[in-house]
Amino acid sequence: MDAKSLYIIKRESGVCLYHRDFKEPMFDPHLISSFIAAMTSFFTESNYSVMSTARAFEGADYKIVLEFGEWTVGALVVNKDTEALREKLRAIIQEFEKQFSILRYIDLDLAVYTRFEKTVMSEFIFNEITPETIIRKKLNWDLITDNPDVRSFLQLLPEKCSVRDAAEFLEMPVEVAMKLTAEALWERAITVSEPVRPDDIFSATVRGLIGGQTDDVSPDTARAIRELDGETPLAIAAERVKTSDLQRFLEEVAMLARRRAIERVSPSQTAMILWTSLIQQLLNIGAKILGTERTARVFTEARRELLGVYPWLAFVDLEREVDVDIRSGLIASAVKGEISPVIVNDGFRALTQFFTKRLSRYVNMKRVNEAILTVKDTMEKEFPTRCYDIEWELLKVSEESVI
Amino acid sequence: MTGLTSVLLLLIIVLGPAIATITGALGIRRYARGGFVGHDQFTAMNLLVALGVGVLVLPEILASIITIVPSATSDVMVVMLLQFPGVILWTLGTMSYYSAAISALKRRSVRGDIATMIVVAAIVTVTPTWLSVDSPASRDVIRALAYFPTTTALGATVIALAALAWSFRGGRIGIFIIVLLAGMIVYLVQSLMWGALGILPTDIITRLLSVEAYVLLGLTQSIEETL
Repeated sequence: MDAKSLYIIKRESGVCLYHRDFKEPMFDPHLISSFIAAMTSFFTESNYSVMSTARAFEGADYKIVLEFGEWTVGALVVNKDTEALREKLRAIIQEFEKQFSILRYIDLDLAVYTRFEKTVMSEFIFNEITPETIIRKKLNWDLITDNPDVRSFLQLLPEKCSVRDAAEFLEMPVEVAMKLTAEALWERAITVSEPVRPDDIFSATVRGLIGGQTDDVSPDTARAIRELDGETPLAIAAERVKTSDLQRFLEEVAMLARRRAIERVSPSQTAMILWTSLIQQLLNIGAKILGTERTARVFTEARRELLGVYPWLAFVDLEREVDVDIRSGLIASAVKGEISPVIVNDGFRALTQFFTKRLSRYVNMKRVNEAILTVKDTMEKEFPTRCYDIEWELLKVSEESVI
Repeated sequence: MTGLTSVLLLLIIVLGPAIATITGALGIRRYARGGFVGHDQFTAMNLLVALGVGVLVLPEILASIITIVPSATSDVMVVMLLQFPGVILWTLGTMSYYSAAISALKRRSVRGDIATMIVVAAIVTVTPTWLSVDSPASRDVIRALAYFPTTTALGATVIALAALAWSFRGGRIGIFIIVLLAGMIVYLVQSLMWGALGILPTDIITRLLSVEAYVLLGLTQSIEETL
């Protein structure tokens, strides 16, 4: 979970109206709210730029991102500033201002913490929990939480298990287990993490490469770390170094990720890598049937049609005939989270649809759909889980497909 | 020989080598840009077809010479033998394109397909010679060697192109493949005419068929350009 703490501050007075620490408390809410109010006021008053507004402050291992409402400022302490987190913060501020609008004019005790808890939970906690999420109980969890539902939930669970396993063990529906996990996380009685899957994509950090971090992992894993370039799925990296035990490799990767020796690439980057692989395979098939020059022309025409709607597709180019090349500007945006995975998926799906529709004019619909199925089979091996994030039926060409 | 026949014969004597030369040269110029290697399979097929047509200039010239100066039948066999290098280039180009296209689409090996095509082509080539009493190819080994490899290679090429034309029917590339197939069929017919019926490759009909085949193969270059 990337968010560490949330603060909602009244702009006029600098008073902290709401705060929540998702992990261990980092700052005194009154201190930080005064600081933020003062700094934002400073930037606003400064006469060098009418648009100058502070949007983030950076510490050694945290960032405080700010978003402004009409009469409040939301501050989120995070590991990494991403567009997805900012979207959540904006939604929270909007909801807070709507629900407690009277606080703009007068100070009243409106039981803000109790009434706003569900909203914050749904925005920051519920979305983090999936049936595959790994639950780890904290050491003295029974001293941390008084919630009877959470206590009875955690009492019978082992130190580490997945939400799905917990549901099976306690003979309850998965949705109920997910809800209880969210509450336990809210109470800070547990930590959660996502399981490492063979088609996850990681990149080695400088910290990981410097040394010491990989001393206690197997030699195969240590060698595979160098293959983690932020584009290669774990399964492929393991295959390249001929790892004998994939399960152990994945567990060691999870451990290294917790140590920050490696880090998972952003969801936008993952989406981009998935789609790039798909389009590359379609281009290779097209090149074998129509020739490289013609295939490249078909791709370029398809992309040109979409630049009005997805201007960032201009950063998706071809080099050396039909090799897909994502320019560094788009990669950087994906890394920083400036472009959301939803937009990446939409844009690439449209590009693929336009390309396959044009290809079908040369080859015929049935063959193009066959090619799509062939690509799907290949991608099921490279990305066993993520492959199903793609709506393959929408990529197929039909008589009704309209450009 | 009537005047019209003489004029026609003169035209065929000149047209055959001329059209083969022009078609071959234009094709090589177009598809060998940047060298003879390192192309995609589609371009490689077109290049090999053009090269094959270029190589077939030799038997065309020999056939023209034989028409002007009739000589022993053995020279007719040389015409057939000289067709083989050109035809085998066509076969190689077509088969490699077939292999690349079908294995890319269906992710399966096409070796079985190619073997089947060659066997079927061989059967189709041999059958007329058995059935025909006038077949020169069944008279002796040398005639058989002049006939069977060329015609079998052409037959396999036709089968591969027919399969591709069926696969890509309705698409623009289907039209290109159909015209290429037509050219190959016409050339196969002129080859079968000698092996099965004994009609000499220097005969007017056979010469006309060759010219028609070269025109069709040249037409594929124009079609490919406008795809």
